Amino acid sequence: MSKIYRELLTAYARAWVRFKGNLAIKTWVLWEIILPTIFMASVIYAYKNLNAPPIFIGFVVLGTVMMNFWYNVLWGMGDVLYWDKETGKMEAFLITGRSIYMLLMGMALGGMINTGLRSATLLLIGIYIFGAEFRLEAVPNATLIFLLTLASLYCMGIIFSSLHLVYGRKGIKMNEVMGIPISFLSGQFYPINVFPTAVQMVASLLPLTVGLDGVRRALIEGWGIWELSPHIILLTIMTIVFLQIGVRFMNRIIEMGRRDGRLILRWQ
Amino acid sequence: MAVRKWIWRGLAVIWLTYNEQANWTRLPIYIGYIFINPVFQIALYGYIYIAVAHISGLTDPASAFYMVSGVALYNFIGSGLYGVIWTIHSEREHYNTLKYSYLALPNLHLYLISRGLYHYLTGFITSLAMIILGYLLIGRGLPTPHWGWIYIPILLIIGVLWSANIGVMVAGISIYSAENGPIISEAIGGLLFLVGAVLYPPSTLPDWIEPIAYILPIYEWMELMRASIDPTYIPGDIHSLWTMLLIKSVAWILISIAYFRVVEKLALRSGMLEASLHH
Repeated sequence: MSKIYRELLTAYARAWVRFKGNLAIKTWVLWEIILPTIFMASVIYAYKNLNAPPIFIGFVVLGTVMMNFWYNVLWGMGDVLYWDKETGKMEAFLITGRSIYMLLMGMALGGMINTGLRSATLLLIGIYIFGAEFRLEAVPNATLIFLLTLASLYCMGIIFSSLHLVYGRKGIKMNEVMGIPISFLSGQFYPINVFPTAVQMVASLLPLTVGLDGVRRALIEGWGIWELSPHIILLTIMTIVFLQIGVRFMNRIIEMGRRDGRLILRWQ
Repeated sequence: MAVRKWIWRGLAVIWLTYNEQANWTRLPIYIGYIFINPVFQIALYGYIYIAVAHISGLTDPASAFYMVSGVALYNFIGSGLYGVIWTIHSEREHYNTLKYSYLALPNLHLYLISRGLYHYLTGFITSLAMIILGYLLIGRGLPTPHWGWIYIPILLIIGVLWSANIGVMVAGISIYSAENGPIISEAIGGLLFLVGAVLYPPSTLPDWIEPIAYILPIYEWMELMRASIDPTYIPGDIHSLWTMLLIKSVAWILISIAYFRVVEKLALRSGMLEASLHH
């Protein structure tokens, strides 16, 4: 059995555990669809109350769908290694000698699939219950932007995972304050051109902002691949940069952890 | 003497909650931490109005006030509810301390409400900041003092009473469902956000959801709070709103006491207060 195959099997195994684990409690699956739907509905009714143009419904639906992935990166990837450490699974994994990046890749893939299924349901609810309208011919372009956004987001997740290993419980607090601020800065409910220029500039550093803007431009305004090229270039650069930073962080933290014996230290 | 004893116990529980919440960092960082989400929350929802005004040119200052005040007031209720409901989950599943807390204060209903008080306190401070920021965001200028503000403390106490008791009821469910405990707390928060006159009047909701808004006391509470904050806001018949708020609050408190008494007795009998299910 080649080394590459064995490493890929590691990623597959972690993805499988993640996928099955999230389906284990059926009520969770249901609630993970109902809860975002409640908040999505609240904002849609707020827009209706303001007599906003119907285009806003599409903004809200796409924003809610994409934000789901951000929450998965934070809670389904960022703090998982920390919890693995707390529950003793990290020790078991480390003695197998497999690459931690394959473990992270498995977590990302499993998380993407699970979140993807829930988000697809939300999208259907948005279309069939709330009447969101999208351009079907733009689906391939939107899919490309969407996949690039996921790549950059989950590479960011590697950075969060490594930070969580260092900061322990503080990392969880960090997650708690990275939901609503990112939701605002990424323009979850409206395009970011309503913000002052300085805020727009800060917001543009986030892959979610760029990705969400690209997906909206494609699905709502019908932008073609050429018009979307700045989004594609930016997201590709972000993916490469976040991957580089994430790998460096993780290598350094594992090295430090092995040296100081902190990789299996609990109750930090 | 008995009253004094209960006050001391309540203060001790608030102090415990503060330590549980803040012991991960230094005080200045913790203060920043409790303000970050509320500040961005008011920006997130306040910009809904700004976005509509920006893109379609439609302006409606009354709706803007409705939204920012609603989000700020919801923050107060939501923070407290979260504090009450999460106590069972965090103490039983994470820290394994619920049984010891019960030995120290053998009245779970009062203990849960006391644990929520700290969250109502931080919720009040952050909601105040949200109101000010919300006013500035929608270009209303800072609120000026007026006689209606004397009702605010009374309404806040009523708000704590009805919402904490609803929280206790939900916490009762959480005792029996460790895996769904955290989700239930978010679900009740979400329900109140949807039907609680937060971003829009309940009449905006579909006919089949609208009645839920009038079962809970949140609608009357929100309307009276808005009228107390801003005298130009006319919520309808003030007297009937007060009457309904008092009737519904008393009803929910009584239901909560009766329901939780049964839940507590059953939980003690079946050992659920010390059974950690590792969720």
